[in-house]
Amino acid sequence: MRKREYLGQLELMVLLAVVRPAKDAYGVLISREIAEKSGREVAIASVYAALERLERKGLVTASLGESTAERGGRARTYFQPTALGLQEAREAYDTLTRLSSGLAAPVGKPA
Amino acid sequence: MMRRELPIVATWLLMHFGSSAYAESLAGDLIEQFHQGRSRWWYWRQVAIALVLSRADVMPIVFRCAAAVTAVLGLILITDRFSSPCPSTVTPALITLAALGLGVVGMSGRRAASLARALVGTVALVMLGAGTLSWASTTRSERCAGTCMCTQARAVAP
Repeated sequence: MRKREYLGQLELMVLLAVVRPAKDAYGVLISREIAEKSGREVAIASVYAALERLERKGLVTASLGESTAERGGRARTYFQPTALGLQEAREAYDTLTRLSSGLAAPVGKPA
Repeated sequence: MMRRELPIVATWLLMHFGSSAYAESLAGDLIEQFHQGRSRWWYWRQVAIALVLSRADVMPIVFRCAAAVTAVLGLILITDRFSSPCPSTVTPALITLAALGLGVVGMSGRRAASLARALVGTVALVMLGAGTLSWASTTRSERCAGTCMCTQARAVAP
């Protein structure tokens, strides 16, 4: 079994949110995606902190977009998953699916 | 449509004290959201979170140093309480409790629940503020009277 560094809950949510969208993912979009899917609002700064950690682990890459007047002349940073990031997301999903199989009754989910 | 005025101070704080590699993009995101109708309160809250996160690794050290300084101050005030003719009981008690609170927050690190930590930290800071104010008011009233009022009271008493 290979030794791996586990992702925190927020890191995993952010990674999945980066993998998901059809268009390029950036701070606001990722934060909105997590809020919609999890029902909990996440501060944009927390999203960027998680993205920084994911980038350090080589799971996402960042690229600078164009600056706009609406953003006070500041550019968006877009994030894309790397091959390792996609593999990590897949493995995390598989692990969670395997671990949660047969748990419907104990966690109170209707059968 | 008229554009709302951006919270300039909050943006300045973010740009100067937020150490994230993405501070520019974060500021841009906040400005974009603000212009799309988010409130001033929301903007300030986001900036506060960003500032705390960018200093998250040094916060326990800051709290530990503050606790040490406050503890020394508390000791000085306790000593003063026994040697001074005008002893204040409230001030040393408040400062000592504040030192204990700050110490607990600094030592607990990530083990303690963040809500409990925030609560203890806030109470400690309030106590430190109240202690400092009470100390300042005692010192001021003594200085205004020219001499200690207690000494005067003792001298007048039969």
